[in-house]
Amino acid sequence: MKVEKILFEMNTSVFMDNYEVTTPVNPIGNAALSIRGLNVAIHGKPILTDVSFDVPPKSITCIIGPSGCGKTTLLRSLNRMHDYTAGMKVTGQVTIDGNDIYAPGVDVAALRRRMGLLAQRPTVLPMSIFGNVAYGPKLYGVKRGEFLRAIVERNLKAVGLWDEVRERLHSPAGILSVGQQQRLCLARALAVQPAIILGDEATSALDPLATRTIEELLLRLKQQLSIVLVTHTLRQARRIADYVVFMYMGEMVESGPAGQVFSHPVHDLTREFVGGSIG
Amino acid sequence: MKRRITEIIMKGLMLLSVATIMMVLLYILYIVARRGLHSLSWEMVTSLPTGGYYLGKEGGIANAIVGSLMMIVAATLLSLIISLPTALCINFVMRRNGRLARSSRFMFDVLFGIPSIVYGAFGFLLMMWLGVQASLLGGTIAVALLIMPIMVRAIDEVAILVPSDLTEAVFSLGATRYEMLKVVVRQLRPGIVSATLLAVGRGIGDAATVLFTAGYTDSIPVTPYDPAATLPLAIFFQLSSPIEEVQNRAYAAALILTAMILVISFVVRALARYSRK
Ligand SMILES: Nc1ncnc2c1ncn2[C@@H]1O[C@H](COP(=O)(O)OP(=O)(O)O)[C@@H](O)[C@H]1O
Ligand SMILES: [Mg+2]
Repeated sequence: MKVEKILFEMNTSVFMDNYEVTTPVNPIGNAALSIRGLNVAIHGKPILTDVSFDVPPKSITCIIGPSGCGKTTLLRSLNRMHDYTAGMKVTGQVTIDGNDIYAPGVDVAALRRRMGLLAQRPTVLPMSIFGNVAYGPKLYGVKRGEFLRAIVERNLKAVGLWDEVRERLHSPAGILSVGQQQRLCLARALAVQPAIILGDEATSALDPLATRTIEELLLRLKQQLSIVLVTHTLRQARRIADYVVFMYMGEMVESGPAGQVFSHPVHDLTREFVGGSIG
Repeated sequence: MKRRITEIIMKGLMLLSVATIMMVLLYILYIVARRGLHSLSWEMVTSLPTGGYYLGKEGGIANAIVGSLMMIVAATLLSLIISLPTALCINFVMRRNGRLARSSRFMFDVLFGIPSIVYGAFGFLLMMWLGVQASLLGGTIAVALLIMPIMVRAIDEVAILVPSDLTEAVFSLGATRYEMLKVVVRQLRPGIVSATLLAVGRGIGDAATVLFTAGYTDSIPVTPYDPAATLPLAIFFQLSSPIEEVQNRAYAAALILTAMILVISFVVRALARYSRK
């Protein structure tokens, strides 16, 4: 317990060292995103137009909509992944705890540390299981072996993988099953203590059982952090969403609490999509 | 039925082409061994040539063995230092399928096709300009230039397969571009090993590159500015002799060269496996 306390404090201070420049001190795990007038265009061709919504803290926000409507593009603008795509232009505001992530001088690496990413296909790093989870903390200067071991154990336990891999922590991560790999990716993301988890159809490569495991984990995690999930199935959104954002052809059509959007959609398009006649 | 016949025919053709290549290789090896094995001796590997060595008297080609080894190790390292960042740059700094990246690849393909004598001549010009004489250093630079395009393209072939998912996963943990590249290099390690071995094989056996740039000497170079003997030239000189015993020694030298490539490739692969642990 003592080590954990030290760890938490140490991580927090490292974290602040990296972030202080652009953000006032904020308690970890208590951030929410706010998107205002977001436009994304590639080579002048708009993909997203005037998207605005809020991601409330400690909840799951699902982005739904037919394929090609811009869900992935939207998610990628939240952690500035478009920075590397030539010709991609992002305007508008995305704020985390009131700070615009697109403001000049933002430390992008520190920003990304606050947002874990869960990709469509699990992507393990070419290192051991241990190395995958320890990678982030090492980047942030955690060097002591005992600290790293404690971090790895805590986060593997958090995703329910510890008992399955404790005997082979130093085997290549690639030997795990796809479902285990996705949980490892989640543990890796959690190890840097993000405030937000972004997921892009994070269960679409998984079998139903592994999908359920991930969903249960996300439901547990939302007690501490905010989760934004692009979902490929409406059923998943119904199962886990607290808030829903419905996208259609690059525009945000409707957003609100899940119960409301599913049972009493305001917009005709939403009604049709939720009812299954488009998409 | 038709599909099964196609299957059988295709399989037969593949086996046939493998067999053809194997036969040609084995035949070359047989010729070299038949003429060379007889003259191969421990003395040849361990001693320097005496005055009468090239007339069929005693001595060896330790000078060329050591010279070749020094040169290929230095040239491969030099080339790797340049090639790896180049390949990474093409794939992870430039847009990997953008115009700049594609024209870079094309340029390296062209460089790859240039005959080695041109690298030798270019190296020689470079040395004249720098005021360096035919030496271990000069040969090393010329050989490094020769194998650089091979290395770049061999690493590039595997780098282009690295999914953007991986780079994004690393970025999403808050890594900088340099830290991301370090992870990519881990992923590329098997490709880098193959590229190195390809380059060693090409570089160590090439005579034309070292002809003007490294010179030839009967002693082992002590400083980088001393001329250095190399195995391909040792083979070449001995083959041009009218004395049959000396010609046979050329074949023996070729056997030694082949054995060296074999040993180097074992050592590099073992090192790579060891370093992964
Ligand atoms: N890098 C890109 N280059 C060109 N077009 C893109 C790029 N990324 C996304 N798009 C376009 O933007 C639209 C939305 O894509 P995406 O965000 O992937 O949709 P979704 O995830 O909802 O299926 C698509 O029409 C797609 O072709
Ligand atoms: Mg998508």
